[in-house]
Amino acid sequence: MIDHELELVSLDELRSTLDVYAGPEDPRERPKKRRLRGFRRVVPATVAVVALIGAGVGIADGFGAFDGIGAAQHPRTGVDALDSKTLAGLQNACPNGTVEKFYRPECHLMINSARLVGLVASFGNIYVVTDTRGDLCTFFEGGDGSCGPPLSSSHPITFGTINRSSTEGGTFIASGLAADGVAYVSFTVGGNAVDVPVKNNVWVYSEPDSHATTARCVAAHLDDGSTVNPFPGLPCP
Amino acid sequence: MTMEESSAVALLASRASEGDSCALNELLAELRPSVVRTTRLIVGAGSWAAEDAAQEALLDISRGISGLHDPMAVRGWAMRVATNRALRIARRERLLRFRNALALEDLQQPADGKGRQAALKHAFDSLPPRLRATAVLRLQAGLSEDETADALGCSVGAVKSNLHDARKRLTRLLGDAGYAPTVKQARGELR
Repeated sequence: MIDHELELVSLDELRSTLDVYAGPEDPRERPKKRRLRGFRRVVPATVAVVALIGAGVGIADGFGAFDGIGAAQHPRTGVDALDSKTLAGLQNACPNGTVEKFYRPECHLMINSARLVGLVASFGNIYVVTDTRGDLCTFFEGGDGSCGPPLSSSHPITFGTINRSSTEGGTFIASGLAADGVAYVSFTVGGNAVDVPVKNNVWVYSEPDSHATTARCVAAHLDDGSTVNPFPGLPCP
Repeated sequence: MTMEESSAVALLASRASEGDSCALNELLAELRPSVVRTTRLIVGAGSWAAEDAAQEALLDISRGISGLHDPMAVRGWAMRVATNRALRIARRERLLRFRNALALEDLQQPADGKGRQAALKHAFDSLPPRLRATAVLRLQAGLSEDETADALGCSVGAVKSNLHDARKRLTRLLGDAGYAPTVKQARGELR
């Protein structure tokens, strides 16, 4: 008599087949497309490229992406181009051909949208850049920075932290963008309350020899005296 | 995974959800193998669409981490995010009849050539995406029935039913390709 279960493909066989085809732990990248050949393909390709360039120029020169960020709302000029140190830092964080390029914010930047918004002592140039995912990013010289969704009244600031050696004690940096009308950003780090003034729509805080990796109790304080808590997921301790 | 390992991943998830970019990178490196393989198998290993889906699943996780409420549940959450992405792409690809598929031969053929395993893989790729997802989550990702139900947003009963349905369909498809339902039967051990 045939057991009913034996009439079906076994779970073990199905499992081992799936294991065989599961493949490597990194996704593959599509190879670059071959150069288009022939007039009939060149024409639509040219139209598409012109349209894309037009759209890119529109985004780069338009202020839409920088609505509410006065320091970035100016026509792009030569001084807005990322300096070589920042560019090198970003390229180092997002080398071609690595899987990281797909989920690291640095790998989605629209470099040609960059606006220089100011110079902060010990950090150098500060840039604001849009990315292909619709986020806004702030970078300071060397390529460190943060990205976040576009600013709004409920989220008037972006917020990111980094500490490259929190175990041994490294420099903790918190930074982000702030919309027009935000006077300062406050948060707690390592149990201490910190107020960071906003200058040119950017705020940056650094703390040497720190074991901190994040901050809590983040609030944006507006010129009119009101306060917005944009990150309820970072409650006050 | 040990309790200590789970706690370490949860700590990374907690830090990543609070904006720590270093922790996010470490967390993604930790989750990447299971996310990539699960997504790839649900969409159809060997197609560029599957590789794209795996990348997009990692991107979804990277972007959604700030909304993670329970860091201890980060693995289940990541599998749910990846499965949702994979199912969306698998359904689209099914409509396109795999127009963009068949490009990565090393992920289509096992090292020992074609035969029964290749036929089973081909049959698997022709299953409805939800049945594929159920089988991959249970058998390859190693999720429990409860975890699989959570990832798919269905009941445990539906998970059991999906897996049984998948095996029935695979058996029929293997039969159509000239193979017995089980290896034992093929070897003549079943009478």
